[in-house]
Amino acid sequence: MKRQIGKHEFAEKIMENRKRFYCIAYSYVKNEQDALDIVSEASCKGLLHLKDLDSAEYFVTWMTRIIVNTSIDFIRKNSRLAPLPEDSGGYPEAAQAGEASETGPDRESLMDLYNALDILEPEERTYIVLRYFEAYNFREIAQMLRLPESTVKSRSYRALDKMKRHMTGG
Amino acid sequence: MDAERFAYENIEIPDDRLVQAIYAGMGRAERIRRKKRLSASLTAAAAAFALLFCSANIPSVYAYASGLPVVGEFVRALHIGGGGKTTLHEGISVEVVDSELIVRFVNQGRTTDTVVPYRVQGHDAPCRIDLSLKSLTEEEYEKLEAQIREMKGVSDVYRTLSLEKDTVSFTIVLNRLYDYEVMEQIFPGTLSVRLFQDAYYTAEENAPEQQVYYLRTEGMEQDDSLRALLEKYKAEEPSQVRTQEGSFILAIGEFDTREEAEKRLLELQESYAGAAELQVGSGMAKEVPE
Repeated sequence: MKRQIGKHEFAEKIMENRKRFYCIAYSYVKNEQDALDIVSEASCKGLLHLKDLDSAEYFVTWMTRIIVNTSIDFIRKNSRLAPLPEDSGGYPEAAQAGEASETGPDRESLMDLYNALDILEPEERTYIVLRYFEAYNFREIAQMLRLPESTVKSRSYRALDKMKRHMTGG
Repeated sequence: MDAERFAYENIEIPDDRLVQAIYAGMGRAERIRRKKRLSASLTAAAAAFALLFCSANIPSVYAYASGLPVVGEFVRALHIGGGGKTTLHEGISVEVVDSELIVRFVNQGRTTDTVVPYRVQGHDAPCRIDLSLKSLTEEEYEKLEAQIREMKGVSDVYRTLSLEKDTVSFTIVLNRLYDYEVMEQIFPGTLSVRLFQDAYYTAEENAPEQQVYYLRTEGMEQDDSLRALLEKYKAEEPSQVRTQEGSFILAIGEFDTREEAEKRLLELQESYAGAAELQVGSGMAKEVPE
């Protein structure tokens, strides 16, 4: 059943999910202030277009789409690529991550994967962030981005392949 | 370890600033929305944006839900008594950091838990913030005014008439079109006014050079006739603006076009038996009316 949300519920929901939204924005720009600006702008857009949200249950995916689009716009407007986190600002040093053996190799792979995002075009990053960092499945991403599932799959694999080649020096 | 947990555990999240950023975004949305539907029932508040935090640093989910974070209604709530109920204090502490003003009240040697009741209203043309604080002494106001003059972005401060007893009203004139945020905290009671740079402008907001229309009176002295007009048009939430000559006008509403202002004038003429004192005026963010 459809249930639209009001602005107070919007505020409540965006606060509940704020860290998740920030992480997505950060994945694009790798810069604290820029990520904050993106979340701020997306909050503004979300509230202005609240009537476009069909149902409260889709809030997170709907807002994620706004965050993603705002991030892409932000990068385009600023006409620059997000800096590679050489000093890992905000992230643990790669070595430190490697030392944490109890977390297993996954952690390292994730760190590499995360850092390799920077070589992707903003649109390409979307598939990786949503699929592998936000753990959405292809069907959900397709709904979110209003694209056919097959397109999402092929673009995700293409982006992954590009990252893989970069990481293996291929 | 899954990717989601990885991201959450390894990205340092500046949570206080994140909360601020979200509120700032929602504040802008309210401002844009309000501009699009300026009407009699709404104040012409330009950029007021207020928060009520139950604790200084880690606002609870309850606070978000109950603190009415979205501007319009909360600002209206403030109009009937922002701040605490008690006005008892024996001193005031005022601090200015760059473009932020922080006010606290002191009683029996300690900061009070709540701030005094206050009201706030913002306007675009000229860009200004009207503030009213209850139970402020002349001495305390002077201290406050002196500090406000030190704020980055402030071009003038002047007293205005207040219809309420024991209330000091004044206007802070800004030297450009700023967004601002009024934040109230309790335990201890803190009232802060922060100005934002125009990095926060969006395409839908008034650009500094945009003409804004409003209804205005002729320039008057701050005397009984001005007080009478304030009383007469109280429901329209009039603002008092000091002119270039030093007289004061009453200004009502802010409109994007002359037509909207004229339409509102016609409505007021019907409601107020001609409303002969009012005419359409206009100006820009940095333009003090004649």
